[in-house]
Amino acid sequence: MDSFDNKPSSPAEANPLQAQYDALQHMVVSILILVIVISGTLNIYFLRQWRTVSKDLAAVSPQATKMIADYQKTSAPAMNDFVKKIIEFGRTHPDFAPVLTKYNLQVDTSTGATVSPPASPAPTAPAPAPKKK
Amino acid sequence: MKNNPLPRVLLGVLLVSALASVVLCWLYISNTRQLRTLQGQLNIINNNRTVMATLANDALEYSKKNPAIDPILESVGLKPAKTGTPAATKPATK
Repeated sequence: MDSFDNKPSSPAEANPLQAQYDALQHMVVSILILVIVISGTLNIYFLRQWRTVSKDLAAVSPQATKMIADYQKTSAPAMNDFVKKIIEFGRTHPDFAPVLTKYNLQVDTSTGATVSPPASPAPTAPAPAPKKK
Repeated sequence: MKNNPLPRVLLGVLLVSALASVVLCWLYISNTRQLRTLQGQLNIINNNRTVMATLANDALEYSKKNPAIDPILESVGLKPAKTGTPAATKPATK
């Protein structure tokens, strides 16, 4: 009589929670592998983009830095000086006003102050060169 | 229940990959920002030079009608200086 109660059964029947656990674990592993593949693809994309931009930056940076330094040292002061003189000239010669107006260099006749400066402010210090690896 | 180490290993790999993504993304953004800053500054410089060249041309045109502006143009080298003596009008040779 008691032999029916002690009869061994299959593992799944014996413990349905174990089967659910195994299925869940397989699913988690599958999802993890999928996310790793996606992340790896993203890594490759970022790596390629970074290399491309680094090459561009390495090519542009020396010339641009030199050009910006030259501009800040020589061109910008000369331009500002010329514009100041032109504006001063425009105060005493109203027939020159159209030229000043064309370049948005209007002179306020009541105060003599310039409404807007001509040249944009000199650019800020150039960005540092990219680090070589 | 079995203690399967595979999920832990995969989680570790995923963590490393995610960190690498963050680092590479930061490097890419940083370099792109530097490049755009440089290009923006060069654009400003070129734009300023173009505007100043046009302004200088207009001033030269104006000087044909009103030579009073000549001293300004001469001071910045847009026009050869007039000293009144014929010898001085010759270009300097260095």
